Amino acid sequence: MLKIEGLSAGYGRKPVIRDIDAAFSGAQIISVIGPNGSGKSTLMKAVMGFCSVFSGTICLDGRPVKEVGSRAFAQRVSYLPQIRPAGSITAGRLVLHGRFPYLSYPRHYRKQDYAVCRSVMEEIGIWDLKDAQMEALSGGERQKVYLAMALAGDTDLLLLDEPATYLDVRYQAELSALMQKLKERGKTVAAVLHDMNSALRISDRVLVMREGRIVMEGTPEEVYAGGVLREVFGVEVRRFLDEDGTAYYFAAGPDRIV
Amino acid sequence: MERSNRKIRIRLLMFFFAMAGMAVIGILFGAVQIGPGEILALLLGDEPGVQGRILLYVRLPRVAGAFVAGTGLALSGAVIQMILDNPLAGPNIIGVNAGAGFAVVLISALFPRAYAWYPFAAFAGAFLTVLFVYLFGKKTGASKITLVLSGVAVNSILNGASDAVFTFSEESLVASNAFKIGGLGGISVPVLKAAAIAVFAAAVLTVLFCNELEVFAQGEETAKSLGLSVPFYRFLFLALAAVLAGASVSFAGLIGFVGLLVPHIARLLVGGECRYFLPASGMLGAFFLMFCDFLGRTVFAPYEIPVGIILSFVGAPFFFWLLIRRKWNA
Repeated sequence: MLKIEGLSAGYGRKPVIRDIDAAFSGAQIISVIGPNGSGKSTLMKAVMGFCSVFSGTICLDGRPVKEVGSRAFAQRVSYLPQIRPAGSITAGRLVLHGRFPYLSYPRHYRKQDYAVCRSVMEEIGIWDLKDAQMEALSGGERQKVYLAMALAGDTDLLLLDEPATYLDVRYQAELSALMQKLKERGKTVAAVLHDMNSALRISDRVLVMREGRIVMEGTPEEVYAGGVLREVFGVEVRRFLDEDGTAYYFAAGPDRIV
Repeated sequence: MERSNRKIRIRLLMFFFAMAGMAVIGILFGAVQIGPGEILALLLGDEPGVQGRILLYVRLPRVAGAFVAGTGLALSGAVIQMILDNPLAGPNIIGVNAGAGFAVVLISALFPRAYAWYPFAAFAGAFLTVLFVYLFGKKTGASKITLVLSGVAVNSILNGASDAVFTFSEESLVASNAFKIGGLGGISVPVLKAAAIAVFAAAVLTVLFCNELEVFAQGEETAKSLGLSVPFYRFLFLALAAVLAGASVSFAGLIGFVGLLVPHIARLLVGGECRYFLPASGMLGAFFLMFCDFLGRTVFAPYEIPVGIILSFVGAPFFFWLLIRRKWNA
């Protein structure tokens, strides 16, 4: 569905990511991992058109995204930004704006938009926050509201930039379950993740980035076995299997920094 | 979600009645008492007497002026605060009023009888100023406080430029002090008419695009990801804010604080959702300016205090309170 070829992009005149080839399609979870400053968020922003593209192409269903109108693009791809401002707005209203791409002039929300908004908020467990001001919410609650807004768009592809920030362990587990559910509904979920364990456990494919380039792409098993994690992050990564064969990944302690 | 907004709608209705009530009080009461008989005679189409003339040619334009300027400045402030994501960005603080004022002063000096051009000049001055402040903030990645400070600097330059025009041009029809303080005495009806049309049209468009403004206010990335054409709407909202403030300044002078204060009060009372926040700002702005003008011309009657002075006495303490409140919240 979304195909990136030979992409170099960045801010001002400086490329941050170079020669990126990637494809986001089908019912799967794709994690983008890498050290700080490796260009993960810039990759997401380049897809969304938030930074300068110097070379390469980004195509949605075979058409360059520049030719796809902004509204049509928003109906296919939704985005959870890394920085989520807490404006003077209620949580319910913000989630409702997730339906904005579907409105035509004059843009007034319809009954079905309110219904979608409610069902998404209930699914994430934040319906009781609908009338709360965003300013009054905790970082984690705010995060859930923004995630609900992205889901309200009911798009085929979700780009989530660090969706687990501010979230406690329980909600991180709930987020993983939600991503699985979205995949089962046929959605493509591409997420920038810092938690290596989550990334390797829930993903179908993993893109590993370093210094603006994708240094490896593969299944979690391939990425773990390839030794690229040690090379990219500079730490030993260990895998443990529990009784039912579920794999858990841990970065080794400070004595194993390489 | 809809049901929980009933309380806000009732408040909006109260603002409407307060605004309409204040307009009636402003027309009926003043330094000269006008009896109901005189008003009835006027309504029946009789030739107006002295009191009737005062009502028709002095009080009515004045109340209408307060209504238009209050609505325009408050709505402009609301839009600017949302676009710049900055609660301190009133049109008088970031130089929008000063930009409009300078343009009006310049045009009045160069073409003293060109009343109809005042609102256009004011719009151009306000628009260029708000565009400059916006682009300055965007290019330099300035913080909210830096943005306000840059607006203060722009304010200073433009006020200096207006003073220079006053100094060199005796032809200027706009009296320097009255214009700077801001007031509604001796409103020029042709200028008021042109400004009222501009404010009305801009207010309708602003409310019509309230969902777009609300999405824009969530940040450019979020707005763009929701399919909003950010450059187009940025231009539209800056232009609307400039029309609203510029048209008001063109006949009422550099009235301060309405554009800063009223959106804050409206936000406290109805929240930040544009469909409520914008009408509330407009109605409260009209009420507030009509009220302050009423005070200015009745408290020390037959002497009159310009509305700009009343606003400063009411507005400055409120601004201090706002700053303290922000500090507490932080």
